[in-house]
Amino acid sequence: MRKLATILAILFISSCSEEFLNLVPESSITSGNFYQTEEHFNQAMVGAYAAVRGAKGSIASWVMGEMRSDNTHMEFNITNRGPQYIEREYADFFMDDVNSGTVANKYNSCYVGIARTNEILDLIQGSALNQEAIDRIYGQASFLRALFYFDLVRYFGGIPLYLTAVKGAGDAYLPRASVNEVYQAIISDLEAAIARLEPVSFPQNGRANEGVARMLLADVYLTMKDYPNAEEELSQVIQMGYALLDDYGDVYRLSNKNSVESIFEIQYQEGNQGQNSDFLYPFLPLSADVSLITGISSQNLQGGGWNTPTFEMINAYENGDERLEASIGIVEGTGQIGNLFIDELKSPVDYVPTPGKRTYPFIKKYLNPHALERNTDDNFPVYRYAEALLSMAEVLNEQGRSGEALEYLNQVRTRAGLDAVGETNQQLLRDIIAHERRVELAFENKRWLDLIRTDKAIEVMNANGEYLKEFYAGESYLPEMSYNVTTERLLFPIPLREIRIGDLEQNPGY
Amino acid sequence: MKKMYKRNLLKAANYSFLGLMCQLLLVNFTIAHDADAQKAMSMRKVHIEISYQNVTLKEVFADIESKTDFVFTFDFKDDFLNERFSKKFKKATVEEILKEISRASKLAFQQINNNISISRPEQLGQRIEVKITEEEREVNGKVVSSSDNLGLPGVTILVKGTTIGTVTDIDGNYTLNVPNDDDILVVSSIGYQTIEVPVNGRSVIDIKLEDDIKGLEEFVVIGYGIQKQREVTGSITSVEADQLEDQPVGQFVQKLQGRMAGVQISQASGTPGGGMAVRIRGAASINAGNNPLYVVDGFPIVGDINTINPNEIESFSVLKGASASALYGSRAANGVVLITTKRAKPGQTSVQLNVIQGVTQVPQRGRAKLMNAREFLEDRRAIYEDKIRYEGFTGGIPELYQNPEAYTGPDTDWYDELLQTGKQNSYNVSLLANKDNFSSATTLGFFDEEGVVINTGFQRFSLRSNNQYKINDNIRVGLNLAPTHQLSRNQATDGFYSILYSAVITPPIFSPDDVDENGNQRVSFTGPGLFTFPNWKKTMLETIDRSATTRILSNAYLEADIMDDFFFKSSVSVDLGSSKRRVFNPSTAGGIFSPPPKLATGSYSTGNYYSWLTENTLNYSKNINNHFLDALVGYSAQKFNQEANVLTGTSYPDNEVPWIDAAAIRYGSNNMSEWSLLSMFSRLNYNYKGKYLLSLSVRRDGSSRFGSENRWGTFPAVSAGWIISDEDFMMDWSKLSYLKLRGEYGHAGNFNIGNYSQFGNISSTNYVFGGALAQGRSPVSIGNPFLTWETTVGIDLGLDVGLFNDRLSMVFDYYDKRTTNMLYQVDIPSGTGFNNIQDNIGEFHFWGYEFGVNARVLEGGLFKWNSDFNISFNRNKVIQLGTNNTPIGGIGNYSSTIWKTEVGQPIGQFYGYVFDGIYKTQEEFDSQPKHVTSQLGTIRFKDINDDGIIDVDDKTYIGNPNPKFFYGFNNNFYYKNFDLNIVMAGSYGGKMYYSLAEWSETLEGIFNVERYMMNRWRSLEEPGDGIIGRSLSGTTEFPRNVQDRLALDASHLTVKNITLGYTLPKFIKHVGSTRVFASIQQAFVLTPYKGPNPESSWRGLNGLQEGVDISPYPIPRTYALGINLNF
Repeated sequence: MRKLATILAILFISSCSEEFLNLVPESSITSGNFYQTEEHFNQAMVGAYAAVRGAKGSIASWVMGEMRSDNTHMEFNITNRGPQYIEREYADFFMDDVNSGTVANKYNSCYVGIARTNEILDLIQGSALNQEAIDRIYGQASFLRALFYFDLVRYFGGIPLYLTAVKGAGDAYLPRASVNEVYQAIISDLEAAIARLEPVSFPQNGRANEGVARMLLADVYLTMKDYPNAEEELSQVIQMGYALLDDYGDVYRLSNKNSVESIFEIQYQEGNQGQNSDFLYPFLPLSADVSLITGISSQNLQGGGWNTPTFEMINAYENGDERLEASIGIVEGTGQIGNLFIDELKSPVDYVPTPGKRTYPFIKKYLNPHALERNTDDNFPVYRYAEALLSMAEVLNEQGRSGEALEYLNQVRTRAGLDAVGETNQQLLRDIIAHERRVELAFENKRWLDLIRTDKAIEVMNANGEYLKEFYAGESYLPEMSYNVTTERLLFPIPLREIRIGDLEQNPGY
Repeated sequence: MKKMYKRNLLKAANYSFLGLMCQLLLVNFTIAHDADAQKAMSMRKVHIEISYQNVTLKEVFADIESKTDFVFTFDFKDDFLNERFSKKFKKATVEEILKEISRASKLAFQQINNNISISRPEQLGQRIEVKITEEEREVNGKVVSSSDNLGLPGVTILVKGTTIGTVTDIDGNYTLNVPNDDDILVVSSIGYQTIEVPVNGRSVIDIKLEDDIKGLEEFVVIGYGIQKQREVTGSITSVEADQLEDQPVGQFVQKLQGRMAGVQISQASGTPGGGMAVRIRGAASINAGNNPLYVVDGFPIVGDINTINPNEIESFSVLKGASASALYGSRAANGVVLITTKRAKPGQTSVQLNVIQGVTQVPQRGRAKLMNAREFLEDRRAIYEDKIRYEGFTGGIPELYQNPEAYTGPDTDWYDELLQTGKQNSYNVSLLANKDNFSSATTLGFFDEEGVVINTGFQRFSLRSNNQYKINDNIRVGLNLAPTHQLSRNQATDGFYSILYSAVITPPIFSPDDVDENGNQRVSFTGPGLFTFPNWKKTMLETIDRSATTRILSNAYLEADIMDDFFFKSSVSVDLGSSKRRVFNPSTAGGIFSPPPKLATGSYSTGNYYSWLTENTLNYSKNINNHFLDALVGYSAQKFNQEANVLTGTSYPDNEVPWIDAAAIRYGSNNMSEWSLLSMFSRLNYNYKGKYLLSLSVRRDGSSRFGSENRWGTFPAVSAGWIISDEDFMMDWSKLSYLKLRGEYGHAGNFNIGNYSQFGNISSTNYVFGGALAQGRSPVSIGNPFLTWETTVGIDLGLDVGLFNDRLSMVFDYYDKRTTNMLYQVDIPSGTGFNNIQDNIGEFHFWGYEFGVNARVLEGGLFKWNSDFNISFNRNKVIQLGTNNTPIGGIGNYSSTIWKTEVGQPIGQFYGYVFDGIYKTQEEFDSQPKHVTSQLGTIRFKDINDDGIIDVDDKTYIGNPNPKFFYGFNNNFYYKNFDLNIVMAGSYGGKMYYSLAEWSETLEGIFNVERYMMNRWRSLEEPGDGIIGRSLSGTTEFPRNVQDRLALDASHLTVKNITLGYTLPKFIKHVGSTRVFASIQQAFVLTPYKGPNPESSWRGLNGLQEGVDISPYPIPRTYALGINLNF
């Protein structure tokens, strides 16, 4: 019997402890032990900045910001019929629908950034950090959240307004807020940011400062057509020490990343740390050899041919505008779409097509030396000083102070090698400023939103559709129903998943 | 009854890895020694020297047996065995010793030749009883199996009414002395029907034993033990592996297809060494998987089960019912498969050699019928004609397509280009020995498969050694060791749009041997308006994808009999595995979306894991006045740890060096994860008179995977049975030999919820500031400390029937189970920054019927026929999904997202449009509902919601991939030395989505397409066959949406295996038996389904995502020849 007792003892007293069951991941960190120290919050801030790449540096950004507009089109490739390609075409053709993964990507990526900033904003104030650190982190997080919401509200209209981190299914479902509510939240975030952020200092490193917060707030007011407030913010920005570089083309050179002209840009770094950009490549033609353009051994058979400047765009540059040469390049070659044999790289200035050759215009701004295919070092601009100047010109003109506006407008024109303008007719000057924005900020994902903001989208895009249909007649790919631009197409659809899961109301027309 | 009991003990000894039950019964089974054929010596003449100090009689007898040729026989239930005896003898005769014992313990001994039987007469008085009978006759002969006429080793032969007996030797021969001419021999062996043979004065008696395929007296392996089949109350199906031996396949799961009711097994892909999917009773879970728990020799294993050599396996038991599996607690919800590996049978010493060699081929049936070169060119011309006619295209018809009639170039069948005749060889050697105190079974195996797709294949080297040593009569220790090493070079042939899928649609006008202007073989092809296609053959041949897996399964245990009724077992099991995979995609290789040339890429992944289990169990077993009690308590701890490393290299300068070292950019990742599980379990089996059966069990599991707030789960179960046929009132129904009613209820869990799901994960997220890397982190999931296991609560009602002395036996089961607390990634709005939260919200309801029948249709004569049929009906319905009952899926347009799971509906149905012809005429176009891209001549889907517009709201359920029922039908025929076995499996009523059509029906003219695409709408005068729309730009994407026209009936009957065997007459002295056979695996498939494999399923038997055919690796037909040799 004793033997039995011993065995029973072995059976039940063996290491039966909860300790055995308490396993936490060793190779990753969890929410349970994060957001404790200043270092954690700094890391979380880095994570929030990284979200800007997804939200404003991704494919969806140029599809929705640029291809949707009259600046660019794409090279129709009959063989690229995958849904992710068709979605891009449909965004261009104004035929996109609720299924578009590209549009959903824009929506979701903005909210990923918002969730990261919400988490920080929720937890920083109750943290044990010193006030200086709290302010620094709070200011940056508020700015980023405003940046994300500003894109959402412009592309989708009123959207669910998450201002605290979601803890579970219980607080996950919010209805769409009104456009005005979203703008109020953005303004309030930016005011909080401005109050806490340091003024700009040079050289810049890519972090948010008071300058970009005010620039963003000015853009918000401009979009809301609140010109006095926009002017107030812009006048502050203009006094902060930013300046235009001497040469427009230099703005995009790698040596001028975060330069004195830069207000905010998305940071990238080439190499093997996963920090590289690659947006140059989708803009290049589909070709088994693009080394003539890139300067390195490279091919581009996957995912090229997008966001191509239209000839109407090329023609929109005034004679002598240095920005044309700096922004656009032309490739000539032979072979069918899908695999261009590149013969020559040409300037768009006074370009005359060579008979028998195919012509492919591409965005050249971001063409810089790099060592490895699809691994570039370029940052992507979000705000430049030139935009502050043009916005200032616009707010002054809109307030009837056209004369004052010229000073700002002409700074930008002169740098581009153009003559100053003296037009003071508000209506005419308005068109001049709009045109100036188009070429100055070309391919920086501004055009579509500018067309919306200035109520020109329907008119311009229907005309653009007619132009394209005529230009590409004989190639038979632009469907009849394409470029039927109505008020409903000024917003993108809320992704179907959100409609179904979040029970959100869809934008009209989708 | 006593003999029956004894026979079962012998059977039980086969399962000596658990050894538990037989030892519980506390029997020392002494006739395990070989009877010696020599002339016996009288016990008076045999002298030995021994000394005993307070040892049990059991030990005394064993000692005498070890020193002499005598064998003691006795009734094992006698209690005298534990009586103690002390005496020192110096050179005494055995008779003298026994007389002493007889005096002390009042026993009677009788020597008959070498057998000494022991009994305790009721009235012995003081008389010393040691009797030597020398006048009985010697009987000898051979016991053979009636099915193959091979000698049967280890057969027990007893003289009826006595304890005189022997066992046969390795060739089936026996010699036995019987007291009287009119005695009757009782001959019994595992797996054979026990028969009685009158001696009738003969001295040579050869005996044939009939197979007892489903004898109700068999033992079955159950959780943590074995149990008499007769007394089982849970729903369990078992299969003996020797029935499956001849199939030329590499994975044991392939052999189980069609064998078991309730167990659905599909060969979703023919990938060498993979592709099988198993699902028990329609199990399904949203996120936690539905694979059953595999338990190998008592060890619940974590890694891959396909590393196990099928030839090592002796039997399978599948625990299907709610109580049968409940003892495995939080892992049992999807059912449990218990695998028992080979042991040596008592008295056995043999060497078995098994060689199978086969060739494999891809059958013609089901291959896609695409256009040949000329048709292709004509069709391209037509597309350009339409472009010019309708769209103002000014480019003209490309030269290549202008004159198809004069075409003389290649006409390539790209599918065929990637195929070859494969090979499949398997070699197995088993060494089995069970003598004295040591038992050992070692199987050495080598399996080699050369795939039917070029440059693919699989090899497995395996060894298993199962050993047990008896330290003394009460204590045994065992060590089982099974290392395996697997090599495979399977490329990414499966998956959406992977090689086979994409190669098929490559235009036939290109040839893999085409050269460019420099005379080099082309790496890719393109033409006017065509996609760019890699040279698939070159890609397949030049891509390197090598995997190697090494695994050691090991298990050490100690078993002890404590006092009379207790049995204790302690074991430690370890599963160690490591794997590596090296991939190199040279610049000349590519996929459909990434045609070469491109930069070479490579990766090197390694992983290793260990899982250990320590387990202690104590059994108590007692039979008191017809009350039989068997209790089990146990405790176990298991831990799993896994490390994974991946290195990837990109931007290789060239293809010279295919290792990561040569890559310009290298990334690495490295991580570790663990889980642990503590369990306590207990079971009580009780029966009264062997006919009223009751079983109660409970298990408590604590798991590291569950949230801190819900760490421990309790899983109770109860089952009961009633053997009605044993009742007196049933005695008149003599045709009904067996009738058992059983019922069970139990809780089982599913713990496959991921390792750290309770925590919100924070992952590394870096950025750059001022040109310098900034290291950051960001949340990637929301944690949930309340996370817990899924619980499946089920009932089962079953009926077992035996008719005509069990010649016909049937099993019927009904089950009903509900899975609640379903682990669910509750989809939440993306506005939260996340797509889902893990939670236990969701409920599925499952129910179904199973029926199995086994018949010995013809027996006794020269021609014998056994037949086995089973059929299973599984149904399910979704009761709850998440907090808002948001449906799962049903959002995408293409077949990769075709499924929708919604409350009130069966799980995982196809969801899409309903095909409604094309707008053939202007009137149709004007009057019918339209999609935004619709034009005259384009496809029309049904306007389900009747709003006049065709859009996503018009999608509906277009088919259920789950079959209405599935079945298996197996037949064994024997004629003289021939045997023929036919295995069939099939299903009825399931739908399969033919996803290749998404590409082989494209209208843009970029791919090669189905031949019937020629009959598309071209004009009002040429409207085609009304199925395929026109090729007008902007209208060609919509027809690729999922539609009911491509959700095809996948009902099928597959003849899985036909084997014809012949047992050779004994021709070489040292070879015990030789059997040769010819076997065809995957002989043929009868199905209306268009594709080659009606079992294919991209996601396997996943439950939520079944039945999409993505043109997986084809399943070959294998023609094999084999030989089995026994030495």
